[in-house]
This record gives sequence, structure tokens and C-alpha cells, in this order.
Amino acid sequence: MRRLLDFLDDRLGLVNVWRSSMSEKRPPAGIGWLRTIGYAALTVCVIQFLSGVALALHYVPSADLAYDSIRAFEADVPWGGFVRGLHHYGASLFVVLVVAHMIRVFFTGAYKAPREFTWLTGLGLLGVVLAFGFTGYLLPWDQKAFFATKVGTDIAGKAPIVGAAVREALNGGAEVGPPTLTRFYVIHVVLLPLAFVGLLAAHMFLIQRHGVAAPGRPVGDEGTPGEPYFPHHVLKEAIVGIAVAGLLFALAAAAPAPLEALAEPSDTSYQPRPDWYFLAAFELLKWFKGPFETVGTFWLPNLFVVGLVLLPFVDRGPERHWRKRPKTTALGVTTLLALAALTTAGALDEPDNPPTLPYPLGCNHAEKQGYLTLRRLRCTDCHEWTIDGATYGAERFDAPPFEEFLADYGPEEFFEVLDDPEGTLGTEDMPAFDYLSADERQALWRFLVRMRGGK
Amino acid sequence: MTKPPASESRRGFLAVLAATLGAIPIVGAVIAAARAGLAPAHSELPDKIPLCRLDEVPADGAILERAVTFEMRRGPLVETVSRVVFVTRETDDSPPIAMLGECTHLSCPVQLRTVAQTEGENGPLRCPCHGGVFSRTGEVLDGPPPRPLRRLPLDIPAEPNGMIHLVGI
Repeated sequence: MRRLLDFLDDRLGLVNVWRSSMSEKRPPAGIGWLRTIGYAALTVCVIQFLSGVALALHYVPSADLAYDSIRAFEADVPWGGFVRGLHHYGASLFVVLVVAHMIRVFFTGAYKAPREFTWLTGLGLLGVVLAFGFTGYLLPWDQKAFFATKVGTDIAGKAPIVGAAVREALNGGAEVGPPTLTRFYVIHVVLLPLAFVGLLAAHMFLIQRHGVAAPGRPVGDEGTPGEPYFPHHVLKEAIVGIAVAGLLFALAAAAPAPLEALAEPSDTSYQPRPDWYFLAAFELLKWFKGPFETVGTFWLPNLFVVGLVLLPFVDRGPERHWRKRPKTTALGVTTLLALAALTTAGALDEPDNPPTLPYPLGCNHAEKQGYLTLRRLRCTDCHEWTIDGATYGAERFDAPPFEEFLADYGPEEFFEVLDDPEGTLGTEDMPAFDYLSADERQALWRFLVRMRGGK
Repeated sequence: MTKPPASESRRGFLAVLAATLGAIPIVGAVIAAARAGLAPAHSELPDKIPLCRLDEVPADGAILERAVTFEMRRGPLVETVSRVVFVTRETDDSPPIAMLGECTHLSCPVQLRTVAQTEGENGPLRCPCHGGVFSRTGEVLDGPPPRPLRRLPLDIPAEPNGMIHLVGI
């Protein structure tokens, strides 16, 4: 055994790396539980990677099948619902932990010399994590996905000069559509992971190079070495890692990740909302009217980012302890309170989205087109439909429910009713749908046949 | 100024040469990938899309909301696209106007039905996202939208039961 280890070490030299970065590394005395948040974020990162790979192995990145493949993943794949839950809640937890880590670094002044670039790579990682969130929620191609992405790429389009080009590059066309899904998929599973790994490597390298900033000490005073990093601090990190993973596993097991109805661009009853970590930005957009709208979409958010980038180069005082730099501390607290207030206001502006008629798993292409046609025509505005005990529609007018007349029709009679409801049913309440194309009629009929059990 | 020794200028020249030669394959790949990857998508829309019959357009300030579905072509790819169009008239005798039911701020779906339930049939049109408010002919009344709702050009038939077509969307 000894000889095998020697053989490997002669060739790999890993024992020295282990000693210098783990067992003989002595971070400054006094670092405690607050210095474990970055590790907790890393734990979630690993869970995101593994659950993301499992999802990607089953996901079909096309607008026709993306939604079905997610539903099938939850319904048919062993542990599928649990794994999607991990990925969904993990995305939120990832943001929480990265931001918490950043807040810790801010208030302990750890971004100061010589660690400015550790701060910058960390900011880059936060940006990548938010971009993961934004590109990730388009992928299920549900209502939330479609409408939130429209808003998001439009915000990118408000940037001066390059905005229109960026928007078109993201959308893969003039509007959000099937090409957007493919682009976001590539960004989410290829480009962002590469960027993340690159930035993370730089972040870790810099942490190795400069060590942890000594708590409370001014710039230049690296404190007195404490206990070895391994196993003392690693033990703390492992405990926090278990707590975070346990929380995530419990969330994923307790409640399935939400999935709304299939995206339908013409659905004007839908009130879009972003995920909670974009609610502050969402709220901000309401404040700037007419010609000032780009203040909310572009100038303020980017000013905030520029402020964060410049922080370690502008705030160059020697003190690290938050009590000894009251201006910076006050600025930080004010910013956090403002963000919290905006997020709360955004969360209180709750959407009132009525439940949308779902379609059964396993519909073919024509049947799904029929389902979408039924939603475009707003049939359920007047005719309610009860499926598995849940009732959908009929907010506008109490026409006979679908179940009442569905069984009675053959295709020819059905098309006659669509063309001339007054002549066939003797009612003026139903509008005529004589403008439908032959494809739309056929698709609608196919869906209705499917809903009545294939007969 | 003393001339640097020949070996040093040679070394400098070799460094520039190595960096240049090393960069060429990368630059080539970047150009090729960016050219294809970022090529704009050319989409073709139908010239005329049927909207509704002329006699369906309400004459009393009410708005007809219609989802139009059409095929958009990107070269050999055909995509089915749907949009919401509001059809109304400025006055009872004026020709119909059509507006895209999309907020001009950030493209949220402007709400007609929800408004009808809370503010009556003649209330303003509201965007459910950032508080944009439009008049029933599409002018901005309040909120962030920078422009009125987009008017869509129409081909209006002569006979009252003829089909109105959208010409360009």
C-alpha cells in the first residue's frame, strides 16, 4: 500500500497539493460557521449538475415535445418528479446561498486588497447563477416559461445601441418562439456550465492563493494561523453541506415542482410573473413611465452591477470590521432593505390566474393542435369541462358543459354547428366559427374524440 | 540607444510569430461559428391573414378579441404562430381598426376579459405586468408603455359580410 502511494505520488505529486491546501493549511484563527456558506453553495451546485444531467437525458429540446417530455419525466421515469423537484428548488437555494455568501463577504470586508479579483469572479458566478435561472425556466415550455421569457428578452432589447441585436440573437428571430427554446437550451446546458466552471476555477485558485481574510483585522493584517483547514474547518463545512442537502431533498420530496399549462401565446387571461429572485427587478419596472422606462429596464440595474464591480476599487480604506466602516455598512444595509422591500412589493402583486384546461398525457401532434385551437377559440370561456374532478372554464357564460354534448356528435354535425350555431342549435349565444381552416377543424375534432375516449 | 543583441530581437520576433500563428485557428473557428450561429433568422409571414367578418366588428365601443393563427416560414421550417388582435372602431361609423394585444412595454398580454369583469365593458385595457393602461383605441393612459398599442394594417372588404384581412402583422 505504502509503495503504491509512493509510486503514484512520484508521478502525480498530489500529496504536496493535499498538504499545502488542506491538512497543513492554517486559515486565520476565529473563522467560524459564517465561512461555510460558499461551500454550501458548492454542494447545491453539485446537486444541480447531477439532477440537470438526469433531466437532460430525458428532455426533448423542441417546442413540440419539451412540455410532454417534462410531464413524462415526472409521470413515468422512476424518481423523475423527485429529481425535477431537486433541480427546481435547488435553483432557488443556489441563488439564496450565493447571495448570502456575497453578503457575508460584503460585511466582513473580505473583498478588500488583495482579494479584489476573488470578489469579481464571485460576482461573475452570481451572474451565471441568475442566467441559469432565467434560461432554465423557459425549458418546460409552459405558460410561465413563455411569457416570462418574452418579458426577459424584451428587457435585453431595451439596452441602448446593441439591444435589438441582443434580443434577436436570444430569440432566434423577431419574437420568442421555437428557436428561442433551442437557444436557451444550448445556453443553459453548454455555455453557462462552461462559464461557471471557468469562473469557479479562478475563484478557487484565488482563495488558495490569498487564503481567507482574517476576521475583523484591517487590510494587510492576515491574523494568526488557527487550526488546520482539514479536518477542522472541513468538518464544519460538511455539516452545513448535509443540512443544505437535507433541506433540498425534503423540499423535493414534499412538494412537486410547479408546471403550468402548455404555452399558448394568444392566451390573454394569463398574468405573467418572474421567479422570486427577479421580483425586485419586476417591481422596479412599474415605477418608470413612458420615456423613462429604460431607467428601470437598463440604467438602474446596470448601475447596480457597475457599483458592485467597482466596490473593491473604490472602497479602499484599511478597515474590514463592519463597525469601523459605518458608511459602507450603511450603504449595504440600505441596499438590502431596498431589495427586500421591492421583492415584498412584487410578491404582494399576486397574479390571479384561473386554472387552464390540461390535455391528457400521450396526445399525438394533431390532437395537441386541436387542444391549442380549443384554447385559442376560448371554448372553455362558456363551456365548462370537468376532468378528474377538477372543473375548468365557464367564467363568462353558462353554456352546456362539454360532457353534455360531446358524445352526441359525429364530425359532420360538429362542423355544421361550428359554421352556423344559430341555424343548427337555434341559439344566438354561440358565435359562429366559420372562419376556421380545414386543419383547425380537423385538429379540434381529433382532440374532442380523444377526450371522449377515442370513439 | 544601443541596439539589442541579435539573439534578443530574434526571440521577440519568434514570440510574436508564435502568438500570431497560435491564434489563427482560434480566430478562424470564432469567425465561422459566429457567422453561422448568429445568422439572423429570416421568417416569412403570410401576405393576408383572415381576421373577422366586417359585420362582426362591434359598433358601440366594444372590442372584439380574436386569436389569429397563421404559418410562419423560416426557409423549409414551418411554424404555427398565434397572436391576439383587438378589433374595434373609433366611432360607430368609422372603419374598423385592429391592434395587437401585446403591451408595447415588455410584450405582456394586455387583458381585455379580466378588465371586463372588474371595470365593466367600457373600462380601459390593462397590462397585468407593470401597470400599463391603454384606452380602448390603444392610446397610452398610464404606466411604462412608450407607444400606443400597435395598429395592424387591414384590408377591409366592400360588402358587410366580407372577411377583413390583416396585411402584415
